Amino acid sequence: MLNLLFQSNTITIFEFSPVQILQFKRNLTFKRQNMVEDFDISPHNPPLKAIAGLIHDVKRGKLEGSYNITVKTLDILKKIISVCDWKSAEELMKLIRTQGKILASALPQEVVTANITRRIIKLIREEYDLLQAKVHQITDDSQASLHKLVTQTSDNDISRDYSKPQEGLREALLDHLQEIETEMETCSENVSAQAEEHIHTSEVILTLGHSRSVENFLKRAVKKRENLTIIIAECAPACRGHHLAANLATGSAEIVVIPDSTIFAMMSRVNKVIIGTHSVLANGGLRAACGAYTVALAAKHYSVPVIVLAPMYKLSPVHMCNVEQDAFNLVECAEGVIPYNSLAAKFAKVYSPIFDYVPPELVTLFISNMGGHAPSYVYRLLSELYHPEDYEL
Amino acid sequence: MSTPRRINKSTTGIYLFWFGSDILWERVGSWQLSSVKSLAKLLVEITMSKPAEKGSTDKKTDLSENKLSREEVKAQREAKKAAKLAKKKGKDDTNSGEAVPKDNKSQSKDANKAVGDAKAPAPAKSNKGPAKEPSSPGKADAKKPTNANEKNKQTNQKVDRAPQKQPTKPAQQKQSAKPNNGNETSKPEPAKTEIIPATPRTKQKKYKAKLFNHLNGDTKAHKLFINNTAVHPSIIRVGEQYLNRSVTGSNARCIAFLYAIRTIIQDYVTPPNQEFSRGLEANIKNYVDYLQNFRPLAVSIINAYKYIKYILTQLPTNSTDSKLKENLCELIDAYIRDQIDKAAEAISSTVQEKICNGDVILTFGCSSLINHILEEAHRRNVDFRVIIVDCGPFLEGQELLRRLISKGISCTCVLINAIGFIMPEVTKVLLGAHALLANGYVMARTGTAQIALVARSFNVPALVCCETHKFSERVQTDAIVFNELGNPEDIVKESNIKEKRLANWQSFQKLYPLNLIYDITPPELVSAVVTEVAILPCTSVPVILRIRPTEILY
Amino acid sequence: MPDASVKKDFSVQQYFAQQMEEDKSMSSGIAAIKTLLMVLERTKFDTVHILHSTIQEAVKEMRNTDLSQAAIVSGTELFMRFITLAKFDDKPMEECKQIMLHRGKIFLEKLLQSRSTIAHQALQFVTDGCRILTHSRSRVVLQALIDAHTKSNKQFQVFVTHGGPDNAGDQMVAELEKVGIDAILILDSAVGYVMESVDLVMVGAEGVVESGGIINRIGSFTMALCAREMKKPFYVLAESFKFTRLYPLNQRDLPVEYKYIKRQRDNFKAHPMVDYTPPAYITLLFTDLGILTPSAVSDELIKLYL
Repeated sequence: MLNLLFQSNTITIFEFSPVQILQFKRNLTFKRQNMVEDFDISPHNPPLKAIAGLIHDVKRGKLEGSYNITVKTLDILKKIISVCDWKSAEELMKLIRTQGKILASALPQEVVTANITRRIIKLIREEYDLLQAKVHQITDDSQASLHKLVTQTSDNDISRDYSKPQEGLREALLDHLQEIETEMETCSENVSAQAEEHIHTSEVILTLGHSRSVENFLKRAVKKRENLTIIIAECAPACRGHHLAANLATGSAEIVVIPDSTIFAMMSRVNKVIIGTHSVLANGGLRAACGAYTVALAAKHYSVPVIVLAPMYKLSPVHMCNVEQDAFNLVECAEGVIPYNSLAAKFAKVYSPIFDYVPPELVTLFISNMGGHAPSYVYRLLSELYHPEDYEL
Repeated sequence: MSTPRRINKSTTGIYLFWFGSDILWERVGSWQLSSVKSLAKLLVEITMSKPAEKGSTDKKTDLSENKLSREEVKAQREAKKAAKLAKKKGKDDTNSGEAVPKDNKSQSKDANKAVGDAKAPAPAKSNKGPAKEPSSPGKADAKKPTNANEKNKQTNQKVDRAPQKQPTKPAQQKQSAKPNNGNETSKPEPAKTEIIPATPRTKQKKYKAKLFNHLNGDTKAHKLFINNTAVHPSIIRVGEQYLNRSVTGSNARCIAFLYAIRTIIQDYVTPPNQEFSRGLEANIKNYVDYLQNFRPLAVSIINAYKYIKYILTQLPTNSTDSKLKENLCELIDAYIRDQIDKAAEAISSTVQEKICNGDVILTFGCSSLINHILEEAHRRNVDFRVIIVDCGPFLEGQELLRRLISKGISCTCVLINAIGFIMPEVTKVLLGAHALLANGYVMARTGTAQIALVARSFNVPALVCCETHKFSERVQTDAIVFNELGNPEDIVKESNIKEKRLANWQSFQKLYPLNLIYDITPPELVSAVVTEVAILPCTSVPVILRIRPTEILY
Repeated sequence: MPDASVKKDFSVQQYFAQQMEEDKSMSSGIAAIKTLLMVLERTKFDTVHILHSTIQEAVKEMRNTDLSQAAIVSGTELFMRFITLAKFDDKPMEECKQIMLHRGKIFLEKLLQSRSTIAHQALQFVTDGCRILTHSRSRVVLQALIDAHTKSNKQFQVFVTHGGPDNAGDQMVAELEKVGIDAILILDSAVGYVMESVDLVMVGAEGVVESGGIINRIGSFTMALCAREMKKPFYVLAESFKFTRLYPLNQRDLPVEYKYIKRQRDNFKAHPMVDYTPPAYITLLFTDLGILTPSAVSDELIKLYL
């Protein structure tokens, strides 16, 4: 439906009388209102249909993978910005914030939705400030810092007033959003382009499970470097390591598939550990696939560097307070551990967790589409991506 | 062998060696006609060629005249390889799992060190293949250890075998030539397909985990036969049980072995010119060497074997045979009773003091000793619960789970990648061991080291329970220099995943699933080792070795 | 050469002492800043130079007291920076002064709210049924724990060390029990024994140094070492005005005036009052600027001073 909308926007007008033009415009707006039902922002039906559709897809498994979810969310937020009726920056931010909150509470594990929401809100703030700054000469420094503390000039200086309507905000936002979209598209290439810098010839690399970033990274390394050996831990019970192995087996590197129990035994021969992660926490720790903690510990024991591939959209400003924290970890279907129809299943408790927490001291390097960073620098990246007031949506 | 199978010409050639004439014709009938011709050809060749000891050069001369068949060309190539190997012979002691040949001087010592060297031999049915054990007992191959050598072990072995005539153990068979064989050796594809030249298989083998070439033993089990008249049936039965994993665990294997030896002793008839103990010793040695083919011997078995050798030397020379046999059987029973049963009791009672009310105990895999301890604790009405960590490909934890649940102990089960998740709840970790090495390292089922590592990171004490008969004088610092390789197919098959992407992993040239059986846990990750003698820190293992008679220990 | 002697109609030390007396819960750093604001207000100065020197003198006097130096030093340094940043070359002195006073008031207000911000952040880390270990008496930690108990109704247990030689820990226990929190007093030397049964360690700080480490009552370093060994998280709760530009390399490298009170400074056998905990042992710092990792502290200081 929305496609139609955009198409209709580009209709050229040939020699219509003014009355006709007026009618046309009315028709357009009418159509637009109809199409915008999906994005109806009346308080009576949050969430927006598009958001609800996204949630539904993710829960049913039709849409999976952080990248896909991020792209889809970005898409929806972009449409909100362009289509919905909002008058001021404040209103828009509120709108996006509510939708983001809905997404975050419906999909607590998919932090990428909250991340991209925060990013967009920050973008709105920035664009607004930029436009304001052209009008009034106000320095744009909204981060809380000692400097700020000391140089404040007025009481409520930190919370800027965003409620003034601003011309040109929508266009500026859409422009900038385009940049973000491009960034998302080239994300994976940027990460794998750094493969040559980190992998030399004749290395033995260990990885765990199946991560798309790692797959592309390794494929590139295999193309550019000779004589690599890649050891893949299969990561039971889903054994996604097998997928990665099959995908990489066509290259020139030697692939060894090992069960999870052999990780420590093999670690003494490994030169580097390269893993992907589900998300990066605010202290530089990881929420990664189950088994990553063992890999990182074993690597630490043998002083093997652990390189984590984490594109920027996975950086999330949440802290892990403790292991029993709500929604930090999920358990999935335990069929892979013990079949349901076995005798033991009646009497035993079975767990099959999905995630693992890896503390920041076990990680050596993060590689994102912006380059490499130390885990201790994550706080800085976060402050550039998100505004501190949005840490709690 | 009802269905005629296409047989690789090369395998055909090898089969010929083993056949006595009567069996040969029986088999030939089931093969396709095309191969029978080559069969016949080779038969003729073989009967005319000379027996060779280290067959490399002989092989060459044998086959160099006849360049007609593809097989011969291939055999020639392999002969050249073997010639190269012959020069580098005797380099590495830790070698392929073939039992050390009797006639091979450099390897005589290796017989005792052959534990865990070889890859696990192929599944059982291979034993039923038709072959006749040559007259001389035991020694399988004159094959050299293929150490650190990237060449195809199997072809090498095949080369060595090829010229050897009946006296030697059946040579490596390319495979599945056994007609009625649901064979799952690690190189299955030639069997299924038509005549494949050896080279693709060779190429593929080359990428088989270079790191582990020194561990690759070939599965010779498929060339062993059930009705091998030179070997006592109880040995064959024990070997079978090892091979198809119906008997697993170091204690169980040790007991099975000792029972088999006991039967052998009772059945033994002294040949006229030999002394009882000498003859028996030689006999048992052959059987043990034969047993190596099924699965590399566990440390407990090797220690038991050493004990038997020791008691054989201590026998009085003037008793009757029957008295000696009785004596021996009693001693063996005493060994089982003391070293295994009583030791388990002693260890159990020591550990009972460490299990308190409210404990959450984590254990890994299936150890008979740990099972015993936990059942005992439950009998004493201690309030505890158990977390069992399981891992592929064998999923042994389910066996322990079954046993504990049947006793009514409350259990939780997780896979090994979830230990980071479950470890905060755990108060103690109890682990079994396969062996304890002299430098304090614990050799146990692969995955144990990880458990100890994560336990240490959560400050949970890890106790290793190990009877002293499993102590070994060997030293080792990591799990790769010396280990046992299992069947790579197990990794691909056992996983109950939806799409088995690696079902035909053989077709990928450079992909290899690796199935290590054991791994080594460093002593700093272990809080204590519980033996029947005392609770020790891991670093005191040499102390125990010192106070036990050294002839007995491996 | 301006005339350096400005008539003072106030006594810095008196005012300072008065501030400390009035509000026992106020940190000495804030009292120092208040004093300096008072100095700023009451000084008549024509050039900034005079102002500077007056303030320097005041600072010297305050440092002469027996109170903990770290907070005073960092507070006054921050104030000096504040003056520098508030200086406008293009405006007359009177106007500058008014701007400074105005900003100063806001600055002070913000600082007074810092404790509750920190308490709010630390809230999510305190869970029901957890056991917390803390060292001696810290007002920030006290407020954080009281807030957790009263505002979010969480039940937890607190172990408090004596924190000798003045046994401030006893006072802390009393204050916690008054609110209804289960508090247990332990010996300083029992920290190793207790560490395996606690879930987390929370301490305050007298100063946060540029490396990301902290200066705190003696015994904190030992506690941090134990916590690291036992794999327990070590959290520091500190207000942002405690950040200082010091960079100690080890215990010996700490300035003498930090370690010993004035009358002990000549006695080499005296017992130091504080010690330095390197950043490697600290898991997170809770400040009013946010939850920071130790590496972010240096970032903040650089932003301020450079």
